Amino acid sequence: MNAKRPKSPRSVEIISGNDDLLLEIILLLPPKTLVRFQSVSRHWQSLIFAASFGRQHTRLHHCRRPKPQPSFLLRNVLRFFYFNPRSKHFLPFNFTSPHTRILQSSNGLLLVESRNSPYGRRDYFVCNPTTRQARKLLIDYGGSERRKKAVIFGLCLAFDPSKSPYYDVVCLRGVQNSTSNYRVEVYNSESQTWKVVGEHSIAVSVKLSNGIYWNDGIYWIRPTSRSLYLDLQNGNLGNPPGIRTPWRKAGEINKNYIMESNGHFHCLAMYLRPDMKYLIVFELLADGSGWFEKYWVDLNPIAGEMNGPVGVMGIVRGEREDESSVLFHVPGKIISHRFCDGSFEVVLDLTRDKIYVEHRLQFQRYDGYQFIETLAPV
Amino acid sequence: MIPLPLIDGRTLARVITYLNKHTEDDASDEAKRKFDEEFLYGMEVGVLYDAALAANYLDIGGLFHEVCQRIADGMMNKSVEWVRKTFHIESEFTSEEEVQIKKEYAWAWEGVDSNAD
Repeated sequence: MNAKRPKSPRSVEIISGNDDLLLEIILLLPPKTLVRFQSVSRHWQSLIFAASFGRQHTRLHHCRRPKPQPSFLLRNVLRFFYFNPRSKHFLPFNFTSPHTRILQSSNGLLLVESRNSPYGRRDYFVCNPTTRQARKLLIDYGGSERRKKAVIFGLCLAFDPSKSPYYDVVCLRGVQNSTSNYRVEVYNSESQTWKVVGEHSIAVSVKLSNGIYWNDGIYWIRPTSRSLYLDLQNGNLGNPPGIRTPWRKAGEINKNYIMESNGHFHCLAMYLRPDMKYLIVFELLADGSGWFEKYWVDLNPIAGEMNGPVGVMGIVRGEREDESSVLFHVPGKIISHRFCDGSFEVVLDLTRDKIYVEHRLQFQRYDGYQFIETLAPV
Repeated sequence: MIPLPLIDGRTLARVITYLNKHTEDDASDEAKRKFDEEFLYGMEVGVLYDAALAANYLDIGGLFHEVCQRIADGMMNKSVEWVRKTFHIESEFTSEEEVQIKKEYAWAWEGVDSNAD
């Protein structure tokens, strides 16, 4: 069956010519390497971006330990940047459309809102920033007459590769011709269809943004006002437990951030007083019944950097304590603080970059989107 | 005597060494892990591919997987050119297409080994 050859092919050539064997090897490579290797040949590109390979790869790598540390997409006005705090790589990142807003990040996939022009129609996509693949969500706005349009209160992405390689998009919307009812619809990427999960009568007067998918539910937490929780099993809206953050005293600046990392749900409360600066990290208990104080960070060692505006860029929870850190942003810099040893390190210095503006933050509140590099298909 | 035409003697000897170690009654998991590390990291790159094929042909799942992992570890930070050269692949991409890919996925090219090896 084999043609006569003057010399038998070397093992590496046999492997190269056999997709089954080749896939066994490249399945073990991290997403970043594979994204680069798409350039090897068209054949490798098609193998790497095949949806079935993406699912298999995601399932395998999501269960591996140690888990990879996340990267960030940082938004500066209309531009985005890729930033990895570990490797310290920082470079521009472009979405296909110039008018893109990230609504949410979930385990490596993003929910984005995109327009073709500054005031054009909004379209919603689920996007994988690692592979740059995107899928447009077809949302039925319920009729062409404006007054009958069903209001969308919230759109949220639920993706957990440890449970399924497929994602859900949850849409919380008003029911036509009624202001007090809401309906929960879920789009599933396996069936590629929308399904109504529940319809209830409760006033949802506020537009819900910055929802976080956690523990089979969507949480919209507002530390100082009403928080909401959506149970994905039955579509019920409820109230998650409130957080007892210490009272803000006179002359004190207090900023709260709600952030999720690696399955942990946090409220980061930063207090800046002239004489005392600190950060408390509250974590939501695994059963969602209450909050506990996980970390207390004294910020006085970097007080010199904190005379101007300060923000929390993100919290990174690793599998081990010594892999966990919190990122602060001051004009021109991102500073990482490791919880285990209390150390501070400048991981990004932008003072020579063209986006640097003295005394101003380059990235505003919630302009940092954590994501795991993944080949998960959309 | 069972002829195995697709595997050379040297590779087969290595496979047998591996199997002997792994079927030892009194070898602990820790001892096996240590053996694997020295065994695999001691292999030259070319030999790894021979071992992968042999393990696959003989259907020795554990060894096959470990050799693949070792090959993958060695490839992780390599350049696209290194891959093409090692696997004897000709790319049909035009240089414009390659430039475009590198531009869109620029972050994936950070931290790549230089082509010194």
